Amino acid sequence: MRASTDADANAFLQLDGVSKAFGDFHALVDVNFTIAEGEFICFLGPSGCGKTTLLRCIAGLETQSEGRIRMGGADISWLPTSERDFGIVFQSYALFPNLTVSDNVAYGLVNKRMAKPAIKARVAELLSLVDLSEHISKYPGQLSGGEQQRVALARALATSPGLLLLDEPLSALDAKVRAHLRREIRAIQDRLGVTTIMVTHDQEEAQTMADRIFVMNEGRIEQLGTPDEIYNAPATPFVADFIGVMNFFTATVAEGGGVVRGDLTLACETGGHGEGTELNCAVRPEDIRLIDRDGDDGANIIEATVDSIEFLGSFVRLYLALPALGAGELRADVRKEQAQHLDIAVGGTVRLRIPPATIRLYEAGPPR
Amino acid sequence: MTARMRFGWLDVVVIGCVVALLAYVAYRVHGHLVYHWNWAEPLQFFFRRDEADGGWVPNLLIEGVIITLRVSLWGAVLGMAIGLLAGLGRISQVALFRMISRGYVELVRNVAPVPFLFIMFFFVGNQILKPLGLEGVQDAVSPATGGVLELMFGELNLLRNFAAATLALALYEGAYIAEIVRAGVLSIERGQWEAGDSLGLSRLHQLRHVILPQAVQRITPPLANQSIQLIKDSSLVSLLSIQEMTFMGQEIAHSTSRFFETWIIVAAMYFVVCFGLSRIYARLERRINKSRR
Ligand SMILES: Nc1ncnc2c1ncn2[C@@H]1O[C@H](COP(=O)(O)OP(=O)(O)OP(=O)(O)O)[C@@H](O)[C@H]1O
Ligand SMILES: [Mg+2]
Repeated sequence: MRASTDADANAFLQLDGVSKAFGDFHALVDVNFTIAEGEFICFLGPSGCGKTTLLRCIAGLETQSEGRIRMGGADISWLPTSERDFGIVFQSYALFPNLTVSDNVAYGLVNKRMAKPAIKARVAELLSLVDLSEHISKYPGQLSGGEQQRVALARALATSPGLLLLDEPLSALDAKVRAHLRREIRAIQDRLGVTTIMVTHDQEEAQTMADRIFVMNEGRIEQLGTPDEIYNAPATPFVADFIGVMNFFTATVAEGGGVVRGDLTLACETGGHGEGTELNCAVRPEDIRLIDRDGDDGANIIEATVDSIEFLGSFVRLYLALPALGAGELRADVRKEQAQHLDIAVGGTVRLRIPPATIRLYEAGPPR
Repeated sequence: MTARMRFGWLDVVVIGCVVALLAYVAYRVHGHLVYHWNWAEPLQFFFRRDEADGGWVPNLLIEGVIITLRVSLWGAVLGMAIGLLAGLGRISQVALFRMISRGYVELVRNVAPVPFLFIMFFFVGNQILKPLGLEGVQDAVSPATGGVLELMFGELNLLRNFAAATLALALYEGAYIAEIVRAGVLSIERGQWEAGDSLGLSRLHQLRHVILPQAVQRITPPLANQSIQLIKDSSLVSLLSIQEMTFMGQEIAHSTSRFFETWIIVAAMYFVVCFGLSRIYARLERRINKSRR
């Protein structure tokens, strides 16, 4: 997986073997990637996986223990923060409480030797960009969370940096404001074309905003790809488990293809795995089809008992018990109308089909 | 909060002990000490009749208060400047600055104030102020300017002495102020520095526009406290022949032999000045807090 240490001509930002240790603790382990100019990237992963640490290394707020960072063709590995070309929005915003909104935004421009009227015009432009023009002379303490977040964004964009770093900018906001700001941030990024890295632990946020998602786990990048690739072709059990909802069960490769577990045999593409190999099988709940009792007789048709039903708005989630799975349950998502049509009730039996193409196999070992 | 208002049995015991102690002291003073109070004699040192025109003019005690306030004011101004530099020096990125500031602070904290003041007084007076030629000031300036200077620094022929003593006091207080400044700057979240770094600003620039303004707000209460401490510490410069309240107290006590009364009066004067100042600070603080909301 280790990328070459040569500079990639097309890369705007390139990390080569970046690691970061805090004492004995390895917060980042051999991180490699390249980002093209203008891309919107999300670092996605559970709490404590090293997203902030990686962002801080790129910003120079943390010094990597190993590896190199290139930006715009130059090696910036050892450049101090103040000489790197980026704007950042911190998880806590870190606005200057003693300065007004306009002074906060103007602060980065002051040492660019810009004339006062030019600074004023630029601040006005930025504040109208983030829709805050009427709050220009307030102090950060007098603003709502969402407004503070937008001030932080305007401040980060003020110097027209080549790279915009956002550390969970929306996590402190309520769902409605969050959805609004998602679209707003993405729109601003599209308009300015600034290369952007956003940290988040919210997969929906990453899915809706990013060009590419870097899924992180325990200091490593598990997979990088478009939102589609990450969702439809998760490279590891961790990604499969972390993104969306996934059923996991173990089974062994059967004679003549497919997998078997107890009296359950499922047809699927087993790739190069030899007969008898134990594998982790993963199926998404929405890929499981419910069929009429006397419906078609395709492959992978199973009977199961309904353990419980969960109503989730436009669809219902069934928790299904199968003899072959023992204590494990299978989750299946069904549209509400279909559930009504099939007359599903707790304790009743259902017939379901798992399309072979939707079964993903991973080397055994529990998902991390 | 009602618990705080109620008396417990422990309070009764404590109050009983205090009353008993006071009664015992009163009994001793009355019955055994046979002390004849004479307040009139030391009290006349507040004001006296001018021999020329017969009007009332300030006497030693009032002059002493004025000089105490003068020494304290300049001591505070210089002490803040020294404390600010030393406090920032202690957290500087330059190791030399850190070493010098650390050495200074530790020196003051671990040496008794009287020897420290004597050393500084003679060092500053002889090595720094003498070459400046402060002696001739009263002849070199116009009478009007001289008047203003006199109001600010006291008699000009004693200017060198005054300056050396005040600077010595400021050097003593500066170490404590330095620790307050250091704690204040360190109390500002790291994110504020990081945000400034990310915007490409120099450390000095961030310090001036972001860090210090916030730190000053936080350290104002401890600094106010320290300024009251400084007024009390200013009694030490009486040893350097500065004729402030304590010095005057000594003079009066000796010349009248009314030690008890004189020192009670001097102590009361310190109390009035310091307590008055602390009330003013408390009021200012309340007003600032209100306006900030
Ligand atoms: N200065 C530090 N010293 C020691 N350990 C640290 C330090 N900074 C971070 N860590 C550790 O490194 C790991 C990764 O931290 P990081 O802040 O990057 O996580 P994160 O992915 O941003 O998590 P979250 O989503 O909760 O913000 C954590 O286990 C954290 O405890
Ligand atoms: Mg984080």
